[in-house]
Amino acid sequence: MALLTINNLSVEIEEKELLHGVSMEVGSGETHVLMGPNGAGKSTLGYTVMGSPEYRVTGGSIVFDGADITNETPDKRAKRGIFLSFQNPVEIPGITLSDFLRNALEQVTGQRLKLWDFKKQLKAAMEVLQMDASYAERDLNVGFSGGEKKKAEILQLLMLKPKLAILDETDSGLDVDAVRTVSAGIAAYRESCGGSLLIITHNTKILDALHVDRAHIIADGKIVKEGGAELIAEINENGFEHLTGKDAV
Amino acid sequence: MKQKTQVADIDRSLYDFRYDEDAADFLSSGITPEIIREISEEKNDPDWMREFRLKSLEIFSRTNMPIWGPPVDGLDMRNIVTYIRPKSRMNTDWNDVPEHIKETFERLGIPQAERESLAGVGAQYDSELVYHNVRKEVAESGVVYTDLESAMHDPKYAEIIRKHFMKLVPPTDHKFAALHGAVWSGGSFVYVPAGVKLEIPLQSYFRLNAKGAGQFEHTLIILEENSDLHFIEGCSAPKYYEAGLHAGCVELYVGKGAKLRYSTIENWSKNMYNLNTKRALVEEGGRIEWVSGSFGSHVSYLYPMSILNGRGASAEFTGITFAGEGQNLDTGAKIVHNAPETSSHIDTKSISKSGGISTFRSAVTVHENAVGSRSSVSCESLMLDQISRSDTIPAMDIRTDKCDIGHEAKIGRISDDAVFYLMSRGMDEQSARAMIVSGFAGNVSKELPLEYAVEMNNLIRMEMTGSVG
Amino acid sequence: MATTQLNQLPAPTFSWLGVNGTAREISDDLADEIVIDANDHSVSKIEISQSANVHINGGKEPQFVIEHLHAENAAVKTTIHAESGTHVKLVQIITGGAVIADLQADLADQAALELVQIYLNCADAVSAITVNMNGRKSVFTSNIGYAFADENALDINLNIVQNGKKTESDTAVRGVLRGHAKKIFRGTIDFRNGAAGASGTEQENVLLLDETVVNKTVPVILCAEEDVAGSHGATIGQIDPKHIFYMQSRGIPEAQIYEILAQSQLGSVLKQIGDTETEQYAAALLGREEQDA
Repeated sequence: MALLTINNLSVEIEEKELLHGVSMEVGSGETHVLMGPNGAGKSTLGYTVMGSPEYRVTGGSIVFDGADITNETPDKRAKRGIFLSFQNPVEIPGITLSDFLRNALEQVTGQRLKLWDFKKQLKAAMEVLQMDASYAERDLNVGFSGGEKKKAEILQLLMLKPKLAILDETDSGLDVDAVRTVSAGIAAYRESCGGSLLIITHNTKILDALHVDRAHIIADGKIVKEGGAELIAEINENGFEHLTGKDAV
Repeated sequence: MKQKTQVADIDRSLYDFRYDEDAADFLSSGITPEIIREISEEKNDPDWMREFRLKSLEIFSRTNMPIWGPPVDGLDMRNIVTYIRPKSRMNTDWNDVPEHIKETFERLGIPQAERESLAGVGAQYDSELVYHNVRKEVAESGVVYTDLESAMHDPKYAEIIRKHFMKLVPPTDHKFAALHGAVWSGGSFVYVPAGVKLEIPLQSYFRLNAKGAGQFEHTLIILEENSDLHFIEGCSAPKYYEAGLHAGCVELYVGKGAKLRYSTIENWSKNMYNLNTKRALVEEGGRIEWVSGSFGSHVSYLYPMSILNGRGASAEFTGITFAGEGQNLDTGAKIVHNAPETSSHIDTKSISKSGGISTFRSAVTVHENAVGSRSSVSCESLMLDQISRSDTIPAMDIRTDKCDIGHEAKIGRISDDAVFYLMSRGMDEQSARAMIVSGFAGNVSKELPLEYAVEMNNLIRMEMTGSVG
Repeated sequence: MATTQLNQLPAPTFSWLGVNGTAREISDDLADEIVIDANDHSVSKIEISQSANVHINGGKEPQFVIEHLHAENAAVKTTIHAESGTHVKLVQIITGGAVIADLQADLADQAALELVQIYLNCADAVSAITVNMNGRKSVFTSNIGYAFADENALDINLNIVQNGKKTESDTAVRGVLRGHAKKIFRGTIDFRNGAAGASGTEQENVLLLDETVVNKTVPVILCAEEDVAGSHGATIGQIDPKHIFYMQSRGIPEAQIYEILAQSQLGSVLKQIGDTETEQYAAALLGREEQDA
């Protein structure tokens, strides 16, 4: 059975329907790519799987690890092993990245964590991402550059080791070196726990270092095409236009 | 203070325990010249102090309540007991303090904190100090830390006290300053000689145990030139059916180039009327730093004032107010720029929840002579539900052109995006909101010594999760 | 003549600040009645030189009213009823001697009121502005400018009551004080319970040019609703020395720099007038006041 099954999912925000009957499956240990032009509904799908209260499911269901989670709160989904790397993570003043992460880790694992062990893990993960140790003691995302925020998201991915990681435009706004570092982080996550990946992107640089099992193309709130890794090359060649009747933005 | 700081131990009952008093120890309630004379006699006041008390009473009788601020209808002055005879003389050894009083302070963690992290401690129980002590090396540097009554009777300090007592906050200031002048009892006297810099803080803890009583302690601190002190004040009381009254007074004299930090975590029971007056006079190049957390009380009026009286003097006020169910907390700060090149900064946060009302109130005045002065005010308010209330009432009175004055205020709610973000990392909604509120209060907690910051965060968590009423 | 309490701060504060309100004698002269209805000219210009009651009613077409108050000793009351979906713009140029100006506006659903007020060195101006935003999604925008000098005094009490859901208010105040001028600006944003989704901002910027001025600023936010966003700010003080240096480096003498900056201080308010003739008139008045001072 697939790890994540999305059945005929319809979603609206402020009475406007954004997804119209989307279905998709992601198996354990697989890497999937969700591509599509801006405004197609890629991020909506990510947010809805994570359970954002802003988005209202009007039809269909989401099943994760055998359980219907369509109506679960985000924290319960996180505890089941779903992780979303945000495109624009919020800044929360007064809470250090380190305190936050330790708290989240204890929540997700349900176990108290010795400070010493936690620090050791954190240090190792930060090294993978070439993050300066001082970031751990800075307030969560406050004053971080775009690239630093993305790294902080991947750092959380490495620490929390979810069963499914949804990466929402994690590569956007990064320079070549940063993309390489983030890719190394994603590879380290795969190695450490063999988790599944659903990568939301509209460019393919970040995929170079990964073996992609399946690609899904979304446009106007519908899946318009699915296929193997070869589909990515096709998009690179021809854009989305021939699939959607519109230019990729 | 370990027994206070562990998260698992958080419980309002930590502050709510109490011991019964003997009726015989109370002076009768209400405020009359007879009662004032009785207090004065009881305390063996010098003549000038007895006269001062009676004159203050006169002022009290003819002064009206302020026309602004939260209602104080629930406070019936005729029923407030202004003085409770001490059961014990002041001691310098905890072993000499009567067992139940000692146990009170043990449970509040005071003796342990003294051993671990304080230069000196004073503990007041109802109307009188029961304990006062400073470390030997601190005493040897010439620092005086004692109760005000002893100092007033000591020929070395009698004159200093007469010269400074209620000169910054005269009884004519407002009704409750007058009341304080009439019935004050207990409190601390601190004197730091020129050039002496204390590395670790002094702390006074005020505990109002008796039912239907008032606490009127007076804190007088004098810092000579280039000295440095951190003074911490803690307050608590158990909850009784009858309303209590706290009308303390704090007068701080900060000499040339001296620096004083005055930190308060106030956690009176939620039927207390906290009508407190605090004021600092800062001379040339001196600095006052206020750190203030207001969590308790039914009604609070609290606006520490800094008078910047010498060139280059500065003031900083960092505060947080958390108003929950049944609380109306009116807090803020006042700054008077009365000399050239003075500077001030006010940074406050307030939180309203479960029908609580919090009001930020401030006054920044810049006099004609305060050329080249700067002031900035920043206040932020958080509304946690729609049955609460949060008001922001700042005022600026500027009388010179050569100055830079800035003010900003914001009000709003917890962002849904932030809650979702934290929940997506596994926190339930309540914990996510509690964490955001703790972060919101970060400006104050980072200014507090660690154990107090932990205590403050626990108070916030307690308010947010409602695990204990 | 009767003494009347005016400009009461909606939430009183420390009495010694002297900002809780003021009092004036109001003459009981008969006032002119002026009614401006929705179907009148799209732009109405009225000159007011004695006590008057002006009634403005919003209609299908946007209403644009320009009032010039130049009374020596008068009370002028302007009432605006903006019904559902109507748009009213009111420009008030206030000059002259002792003036009491009172503006009351009620905004219904999706009504919009745009207010531009310019106060120029009146001997003694007391101005109350009350905007009741009862209508859902009603919008209030205001630009207020003042230039006062000599011994003259200005006392403003702006009170924006946001009752309706998703109401929006935005207030920008800019002023210059010199000589012995005295000014109080009270600006209150009052979010009432039920005003979910409402937002309100207010900003005052005051330039002080002499050490003898008295400036009082009281920016209040009252809030009884969770789902709102409110902010206010104030900056008060002297000209930034960097600006002076920059302009001097371009050859402008210091005295002239003060004049230029004093005029530019109100420039953004004048631009909001939206009527060339009135704008030029106000600019000329402002220039003359500045030269006289």
